[in-house]
Amino acid sequence: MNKSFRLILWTCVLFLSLWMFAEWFEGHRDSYYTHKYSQVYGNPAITTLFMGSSYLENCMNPHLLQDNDSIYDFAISGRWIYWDVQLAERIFPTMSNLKTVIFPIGYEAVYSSYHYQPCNPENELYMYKYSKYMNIYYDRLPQRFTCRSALYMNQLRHKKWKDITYDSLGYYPIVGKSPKWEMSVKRNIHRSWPAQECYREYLNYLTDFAQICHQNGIRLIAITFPCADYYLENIQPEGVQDLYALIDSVQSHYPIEYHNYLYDDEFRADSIYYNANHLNSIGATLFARRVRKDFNL
Amino acid sequence: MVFNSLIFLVFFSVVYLICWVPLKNTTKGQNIFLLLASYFFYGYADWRMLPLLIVATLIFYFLGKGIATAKSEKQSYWLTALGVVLGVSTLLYFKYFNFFIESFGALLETCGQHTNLHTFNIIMPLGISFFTFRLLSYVIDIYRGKVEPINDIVAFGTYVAFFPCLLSGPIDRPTFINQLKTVRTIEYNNTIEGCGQFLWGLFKKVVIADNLATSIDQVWNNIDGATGSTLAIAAILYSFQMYTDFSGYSDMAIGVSRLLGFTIAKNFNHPFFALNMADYWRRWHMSLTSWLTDYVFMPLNIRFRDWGKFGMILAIIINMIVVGMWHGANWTFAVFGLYHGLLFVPLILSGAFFKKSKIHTNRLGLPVIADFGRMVLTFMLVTIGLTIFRAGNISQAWSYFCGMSDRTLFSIPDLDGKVELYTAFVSIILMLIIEWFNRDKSLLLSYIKNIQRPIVLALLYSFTLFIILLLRGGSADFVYFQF
Amino acid sequence: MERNQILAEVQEIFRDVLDNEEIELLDATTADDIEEWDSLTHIQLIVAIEKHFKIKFTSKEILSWQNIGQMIDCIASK
Repeated sequence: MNKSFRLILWTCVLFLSLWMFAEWFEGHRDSYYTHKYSQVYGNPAITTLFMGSSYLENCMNPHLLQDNDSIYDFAISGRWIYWDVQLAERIFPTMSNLKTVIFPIGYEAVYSSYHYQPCNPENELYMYKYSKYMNIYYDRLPQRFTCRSALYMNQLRHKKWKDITYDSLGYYPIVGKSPKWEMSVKRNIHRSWPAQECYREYLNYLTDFAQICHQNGIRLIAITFPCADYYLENIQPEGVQDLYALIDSVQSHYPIEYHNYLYDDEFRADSIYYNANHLNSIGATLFARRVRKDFNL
Repeated sequence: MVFNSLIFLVFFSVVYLICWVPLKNTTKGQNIFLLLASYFFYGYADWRMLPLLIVATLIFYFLGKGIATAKSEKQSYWLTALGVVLGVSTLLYFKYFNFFIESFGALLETCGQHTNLHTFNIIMPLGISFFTFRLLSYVIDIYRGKVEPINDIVAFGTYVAFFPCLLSGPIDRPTFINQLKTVRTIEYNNTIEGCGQFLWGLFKKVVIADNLATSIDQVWNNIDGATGSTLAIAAILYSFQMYTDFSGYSDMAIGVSRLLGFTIAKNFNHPFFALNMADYWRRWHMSLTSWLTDYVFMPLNIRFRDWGKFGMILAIIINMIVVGMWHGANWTFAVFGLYHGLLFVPLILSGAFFKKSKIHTNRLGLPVIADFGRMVLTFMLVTIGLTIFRAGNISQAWSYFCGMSDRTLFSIPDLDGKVELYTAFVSIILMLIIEWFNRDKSLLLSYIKNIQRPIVLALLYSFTLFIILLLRGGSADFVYFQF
Repeated sequence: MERNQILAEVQEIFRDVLDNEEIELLDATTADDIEEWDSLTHIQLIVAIEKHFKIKFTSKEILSWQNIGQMIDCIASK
């Protein structure tokens, strides 16, 4: 009996010390997330901030933003709206001169949710990264083990960005077309369960987001970014209608401006897309110019 | 609450300490506590279904008594029949009603009616297929005179709801109740084996199954766009995912039970070393197949016994369709069952079905070429079956096979998630080697018992656990929770 | 028929069906004691016994035997 307890106790103690060592080791790394967070937090120079996910992160050529310190691209690939709300709550009050926030609204993002689609490894990775590098928790649950995620993180930092995104720090421009062009289109996503639940959840979060902007005296501009013809051919009109309805519902509570680039003539060529709904470096240059012109930035 | 979560670790530590410190040597106290812990475990997953579990336990407890004390043979027969009907209809209602509702909704939708279907959806109680089978075998065994009805409702409730086996098996038989009646003591060898078995299961689940899951899911999400070779590799990997996921869970259940002083049924006996399909089914999900052999195949076989081999073929086909449909209401499961049933036909006709197959090894301890070939062939047949099993519907399975059999089968496969795949690949090789050389042992890693010093074992275990968690894939639910 | 005689005849049937001349049956013998005797060969044994003694068992009887003794009792009662 004593021996059994001793075995278990020793295992726990040794394991915990290994784990804590790994945590400490991991905590000493630099991260893209922390970098971006520290750039915006309490920065009085920024007047215009891009929020949201890869739709904006990839669509903005960072070199075209560098001449002006007052614009900052705070979008990060894969960000779910929950994180935008949490970040807005924390950082907007600290940014004394923030006047405009530009937020992307995409047809597919509306139907994704950590709450209804749990246990997705990708979601878990983001949960880990936001907790680790920005200290924001989802559901206040303790985050799971870190070391595997750390390895994954490393891989993302060095390799995957090269493949996927035009990262907003400007290190890895992507040129050309993804070999998995078709995979970015989820055809009947608005009809599959739990699309309606996700939609309502998204609406609530977007309303919260608009409310925070309103309280801080910030002009909120929602945009739907350009997509390739292939994408437009394959999505359902009802889904796009849902998107417009979403904006209308938010507008009835808080002011929100809306610009739709989905059908814009300037972005029709397939050669400016990385995949059906993400621009590549050529597209990112075009789009960054266009946005600056449209909103006088 | 899955075994590889922090919350389970906390839960189990509490259960373990309470069982062995204040409740030491009190069988009754331990049983009551285990029952409460099991209900908490179940309620944690979905408290709404707890009443069903409790009511079902009570009904079957009294049915069992009724069958044993029945005045006539006829009365006990009808009471047993009542139990079987109750058990089977609960299962049908919760598992298959959604299927009918959805088919009905699809029909309405084709007629132009729009319905909001998930408002009628019934929640499926987790683990229902597992606990109804335990309840059914209890009443049938009493009727057959194999066990005496138990007079201790706490022990019976614990047998039905025993938390390591509640959600995903193994399906223990009523003889398990004997272990609840005797005094359990904490033994050092049990602790070593329990921890070892748990870690082995954890390794299979989080290092192999979880690392494979994402890549395989991506292939399945885009069957049309994938090349034949990618589909073929993904199908083979799916067999490994399925095996490591499910046997990993079973091993963790065995380990947890062992730590609490119980020995539960073995669920897998290295199915990938099977020499033919009959051998495979003796090694895969053994607690389910032996259950069905006793309560479905044998009665049918006895009824059809005068029809010779044809009767046996009929019995096995029905039995395998039941195996398939047990997993859920979907035509793919029925086809999966029928496919496996048909694979038995040549074995029955040739007589190979009746012989126990033994693996022949050469001087290096590896299988001889002929046996190795039979293993590979069996594995391929299993993989085809599991592809049907994985598909969402028949047409998806069909397009999968079509995609696999075109010319792109000879191109270089293209799967996402290279790091995960390499990790899983190396781990699979390691697993097969360890399994091969320990295939005759009752517990896979029983040789660790030779290391007796707690500190050395603790070093080994903590380091293994650390490595496992370092290499783990993104968390995914256990595949078998849905059945 | 004498119980011992039944046992001897059943033993002969077992040896014949299971193709193993070394089988020795006792009242307490169970399926665990004889390697070839499993749920499948069980059916063949029953068919052979039924033919030999010209009797018919019920399903319940077949499923409730736990050892050879019970089987012999059942044959003797027919």
